[in-house]
Amino acid sequence: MLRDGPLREDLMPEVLPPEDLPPRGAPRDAARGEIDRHEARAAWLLSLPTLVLMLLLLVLPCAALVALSLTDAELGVPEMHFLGLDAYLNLLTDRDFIRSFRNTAVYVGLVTPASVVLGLVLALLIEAGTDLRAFFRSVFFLPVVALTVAMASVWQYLMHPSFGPINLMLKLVGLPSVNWLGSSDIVLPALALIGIWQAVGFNMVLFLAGLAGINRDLYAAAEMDGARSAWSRFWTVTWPMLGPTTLFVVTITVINAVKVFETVATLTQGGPAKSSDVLLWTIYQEGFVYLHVGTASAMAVVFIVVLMALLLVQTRILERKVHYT
Amino acid sequence: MIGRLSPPARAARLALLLLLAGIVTFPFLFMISTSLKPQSEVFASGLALVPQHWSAAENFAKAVTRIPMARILMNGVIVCASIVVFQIVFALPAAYALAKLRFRGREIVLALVILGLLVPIHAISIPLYAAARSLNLLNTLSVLVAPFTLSVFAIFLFRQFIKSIPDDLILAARSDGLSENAIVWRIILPNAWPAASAFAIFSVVAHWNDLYWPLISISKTELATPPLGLLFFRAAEAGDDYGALMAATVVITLPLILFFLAAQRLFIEGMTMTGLKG
Amino acid sequence: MSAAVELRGIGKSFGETRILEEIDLAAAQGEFIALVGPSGCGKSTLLRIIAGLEQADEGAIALDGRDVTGLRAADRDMAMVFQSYALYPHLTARQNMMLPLAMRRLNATQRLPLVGRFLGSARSILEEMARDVEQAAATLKISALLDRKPAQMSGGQRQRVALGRALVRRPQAFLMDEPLSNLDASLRVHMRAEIVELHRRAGVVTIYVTHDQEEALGMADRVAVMMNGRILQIADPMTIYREPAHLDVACFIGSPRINLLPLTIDAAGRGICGGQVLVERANAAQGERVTLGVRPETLVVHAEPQALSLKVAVTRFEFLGSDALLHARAAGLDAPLIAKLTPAMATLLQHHGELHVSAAPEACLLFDADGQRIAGTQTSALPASFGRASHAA
Repeated sequence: MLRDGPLREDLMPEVLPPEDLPPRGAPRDAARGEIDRHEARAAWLLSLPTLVLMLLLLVLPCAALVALSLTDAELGVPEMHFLGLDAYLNLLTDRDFIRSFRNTAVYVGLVTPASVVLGLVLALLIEAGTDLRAFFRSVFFLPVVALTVAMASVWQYLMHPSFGPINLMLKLVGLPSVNWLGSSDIVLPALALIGIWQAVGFNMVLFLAGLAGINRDLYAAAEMDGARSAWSRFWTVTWPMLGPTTLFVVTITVINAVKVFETVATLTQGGPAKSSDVLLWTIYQEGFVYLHVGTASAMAVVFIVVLMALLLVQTRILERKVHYT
Repeated sequence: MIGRLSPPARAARLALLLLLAGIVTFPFLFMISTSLKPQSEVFASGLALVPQHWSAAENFAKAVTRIPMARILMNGVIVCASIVVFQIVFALPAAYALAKLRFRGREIVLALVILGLLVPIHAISIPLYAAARSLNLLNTLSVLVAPFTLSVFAIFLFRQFIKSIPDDLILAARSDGLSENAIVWRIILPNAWPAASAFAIFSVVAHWNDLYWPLISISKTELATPPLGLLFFRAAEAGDDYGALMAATVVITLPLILFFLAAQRLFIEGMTMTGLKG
Repeated sequence: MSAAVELRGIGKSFGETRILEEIDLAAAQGEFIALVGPSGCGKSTLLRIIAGLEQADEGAIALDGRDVTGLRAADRDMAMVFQSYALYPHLTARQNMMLPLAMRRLNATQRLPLVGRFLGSARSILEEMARDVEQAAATLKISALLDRKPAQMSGGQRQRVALGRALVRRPQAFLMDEPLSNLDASLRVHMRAEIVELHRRAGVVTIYVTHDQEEALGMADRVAVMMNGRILQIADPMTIYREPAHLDVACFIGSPRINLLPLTIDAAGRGICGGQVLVERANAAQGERVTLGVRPETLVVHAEPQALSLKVAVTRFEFLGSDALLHARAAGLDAPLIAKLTPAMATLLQHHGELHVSAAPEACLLFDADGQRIAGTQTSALPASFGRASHAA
């Protein structure tokens, strides 16, 4: 439905005066300024709905969050008092919060390396040959699209201490059974196992995309240069070329792992004895179960700061090392 | 490096991948198998995949009657579809303005987009909840959609994509007399279709899965989304009736899995694209 | 002395498609051979087979008389320059050039980062490697670039580093896959001379793949013209141009393209086109379909009809600076004829609507129905100068 011909001429005076071009200098700048103003007006109109939403859903809530974190507000209690940084100072000595922070760090520390390395291994294995490529890609991707809460329920059954298939298999090979979700030492690794299972497929497709972007000539060049084994070609070409992808995969995995909530809410509710308390679960409990809005807000601010710090590390420090431009 | 594997290496690759595929699909196999078994068999013969007595009908009947399953799935569809439509409708014009138009204040808007990328919904759920409560929006489908109508990620992704559309196309559209608004919907949208479909898939997967916000804002079973519905099912189902629970997980997991199996390429490419550009 | 690189009966298929068929080639020590052909003719695949990056389905490859058919690329001691340069973007120019040396001269432990540096055995090798890199860099005038990464260099500079990486380890053969095609036109002409000079100094055989006939003719000692997976002709550049063995070679080499005229042969063995006898003695049987090829610069243009000339209608003059092209049509011929003239000649002729063209017998290239050159029409000797036959106005 593009119009052309005469209509285009009608438009001309508006865009560029075709005759009597003003002399160099002020009048022409004025015409230019008119166009700029028109463009700016259009831009603001197009962005307006988004700007309103940003104000309502981002700026105001962030401001309110910070404001609430400085008070002793409780849900359902009409009055509140300004406490300054008390809530933050309390967090420093709050054993439950510290435990929750540490648990989250342990969970992230387990999930990230394992799911990144496994994702890379799967991508390399798939890329190494031609048989059943699409099939394997889809199979390993399945957990990504399976509902987390539902799969958590399945894992709960698999990890059931007495009749769960995992323990039955351990018994088959003569190993003692494990109380996966019921023992405070094992519960975090058990949750991490589920997290790894779900993250591997996503990391794999990201690595596959990264591998597809490597110039094939580099492998040929490495071979000509004397890289005989697949091992030395990997370290000469694949690993350095995957630098940006790896950094990105690590960042995404860390951020998703820090936000772990669904499996904890479904399977352990932070238990046993708070040994699987993680940040989001603690914030949720504090804010929506105990209704301590002030404390929960302070925790949420800390949570945002942690995420920002992680992203800052990515963009400012590591990115310089893996981008070769 | 393709097609140069020696026969033993080829076999080793296949064997290793098949083994790993077995491990990864193991939960799915047991999910389906258990959903077909009577309770006694779940307790007794854990490792057999094929049930001796079939209780599929009984388990699935429980799964769809204990909670209003059809209603819950429908809620999920309505919520996810609304979210995607709103996100694209709001994000695309803004992304176009940020990518192709010059205006004062552009840097401020961009800074807000970056801020939005850093702040997850979980963190600001407390003020959002307070607002929803004072507006009497709790326990409505609207409250499930409203906070997600803004997707700074969509703005960011679309902006990257629109930047790669040649300026000449837009200049040609302008000289053909299209307004800026018409350019967004008639020129940019068709050209940004790969980004839009990739984002749609990413968004649907994220919101179909989300438990945090529904758990906070919804307490009525008939308004639950699938993850919350499953939590309600588990609460209603005292004890270890794993057959019925697995039947419910099958029913709730199936829609997205079928969607995925029907459009695998689109899915994987979409997730990769949103992943790599995010 | 055995050939530096020798290929015997190389054949290769990808699935159903036959990529290479019966390739034989022997390159002498120090020779510069260009493989030229249209895209998809198999020239790059052949080069990769020589390199050892691909395995041939049939045939054998020997380097200096040593059979290397089954050897991996890393074990063949050849260096390759890629069209994309294939420099390691995370390494500086120095490290890029050092890498092939490290791979060959150091063992796995010595190559370990940090650790290797402190091994006494490695240190002297490392110093020697550094010297070799400096030397190669000096030859290529890139000493100032050694600590830059590829992204900080221009296309021409990357090209030099890629050459340096190939040069530094003094291989038995250089393989180059369209190394100049990513450079702009003026730099390309300049680099041709440099590569020829590098080749002369290194004194080892160079096999150079290109689709650019000018590069092939201008740089190589011998040119192999490839089409559809076969080498149609291999000869020195002048022979390739003057005495193409096959119609496809005649068409591929030369710009503007050679003029083709379909001939019918009469009982006297004369070649006739458009009712006009153009060739007196065609060496072909009556009734055979023969194609006459005449290079634009050997097509002679006359104002009046001559013996063995063809009447043409002038369609266009094209002035190119040092030359001018005359475009013309002959009755009954689909393709236009093109004659390359001096500008002075073109000025004289440009107002004629109708002209006559002919070719000296030694300039007539005849090909049979299969495209094979018909023997007996070759010139006895190449003319001493490149001057054209005189044009009679």
